[in-house]
Amino acid sequence: MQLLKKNNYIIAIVLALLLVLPYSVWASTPTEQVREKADKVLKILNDPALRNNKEKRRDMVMNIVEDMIDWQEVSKRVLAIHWRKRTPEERKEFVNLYRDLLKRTYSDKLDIYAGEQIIYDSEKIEGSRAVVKTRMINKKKGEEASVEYRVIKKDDRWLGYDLVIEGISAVNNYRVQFNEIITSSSYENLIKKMKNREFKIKESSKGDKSSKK
Amino acid sequence: MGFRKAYRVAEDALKHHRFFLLLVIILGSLFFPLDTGYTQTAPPQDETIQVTEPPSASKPREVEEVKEVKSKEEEETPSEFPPGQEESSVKKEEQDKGEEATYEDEEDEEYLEEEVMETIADPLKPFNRLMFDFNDKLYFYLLKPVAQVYEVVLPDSVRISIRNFISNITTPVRLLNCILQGKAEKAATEYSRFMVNTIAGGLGFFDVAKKYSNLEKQDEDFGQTLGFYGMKEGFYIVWPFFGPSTVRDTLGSVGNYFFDPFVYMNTTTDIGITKINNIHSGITITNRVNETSLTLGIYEEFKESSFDPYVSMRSAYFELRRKKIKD
Repeated sequence: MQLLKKNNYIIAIVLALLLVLPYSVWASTPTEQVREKADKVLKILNDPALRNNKEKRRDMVMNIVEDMIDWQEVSKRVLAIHWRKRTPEERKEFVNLYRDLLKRTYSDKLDIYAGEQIIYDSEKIEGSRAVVKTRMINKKKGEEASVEYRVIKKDDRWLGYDLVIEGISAVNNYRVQFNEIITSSSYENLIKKMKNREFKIKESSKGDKSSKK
Repeated sequence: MGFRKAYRVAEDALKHHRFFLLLVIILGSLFFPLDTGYTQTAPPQDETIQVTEPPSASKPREVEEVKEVKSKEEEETPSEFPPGQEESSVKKEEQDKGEEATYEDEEDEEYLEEEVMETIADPLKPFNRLMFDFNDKLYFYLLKPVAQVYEVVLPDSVRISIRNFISNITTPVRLLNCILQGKAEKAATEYSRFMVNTIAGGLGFFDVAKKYSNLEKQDEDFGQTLGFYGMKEGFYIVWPFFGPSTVRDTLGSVGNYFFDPFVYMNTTTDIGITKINNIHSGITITNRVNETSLTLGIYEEFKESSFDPYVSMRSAYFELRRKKIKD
């Protein structure tokens, strides 16, 4: 439990921002593209008119976010060696499942946003991939968390494929979990689990949306 | 004078902490000289990768794959086309797919290389899972309710001050480990932080060093020092109450214990096997409750967003520790 000490809302916002990675023709560097999208999301989150309409706010953010990620790249990396063995149909199915799951899991967490700021520290481009290092700062609590956006170049856009929060890579973590499930049972079992889970999240978000803080 | 003091500390440790020394010796002799079969920078060929064949062997598999697709399609569309036409169309598809798959495979190697498929040794998995569940219950049935009450009683600012105070007193743990690893700049930062916060921050209750001078806390511990000098991390252990660790980090925590000033504030209770240090245990428990109260909800969220919380935590633990040792 030691390693889970950092503030949760920062992590949550950031997870939401994972989805917010770049799309722009005129903004060319990865940092500019990340910043543009992140600013859009922060603007929505800071909009007092939307504060009471969480449902709408969530949808707006998710719309920005939706296509700023290269879901195929994410899925490839998450399945890693198991990706190779999948048929094109299975791949498509997985990409869709995984995308919906991530969106559902993290969109709820937008609600804990509490005025955090983003500071852009550095960027490193290596071939078609780049890393944008940022920090999320909560001034009230005097806490901060390091956040690294990993992006890959597709045409003119830098699309997100991984998010590293406080040194922990989301893709890496899911990959290890999926690998464990696949090797200890089967790929089919993983898909079953993902479907079950989506169902559960749907149910619970219908039920206790108001009771959650 | 310094030596005499050090000697006295050692003597004191021998007298009062026989149990811990014994633990160090037992663990040390058990694991340190042994090769646990784990290499830190293992190429992508262990646990995780055993299931795959080398890339050269991937072609036959693709053929199989396509055959599967073919047979499925045959099942689905049994008699819509005359037999000859069906065969040719399927063949065409087979060709297309075959090309696509090989092309993708060549390109794909990149994503496999990029992330090192790290290996994690976990021979104690059944025990560890049990302990993980134990800690999980401990959190939900004891730690969390206590922390929730504590949260109501004390405002945020007070709880952050308590965190700062405990962290300030335990500066020696971080400072000594910076020094042991020869990290002069980090050591200087820790030293300045201690001076500034103790004097200007009201005995460490306020972290003014960070606020006004941008001096960040340097997170170094003895486990990292051991790693710095090349000790392998060994396998994963989940301790009841203390949570995730490795063989090396367990030794590290024992080392940290001896660097902790709270240990040397002596009011002890003898429980037979060892002596319990009242102040140290009191502070440890306060710290735990305090930290839990400041981070309520994180564990829940972590559990919610993972498929297998045990595996997720294990992976995060190793990733984090390895990164910390590198910097």
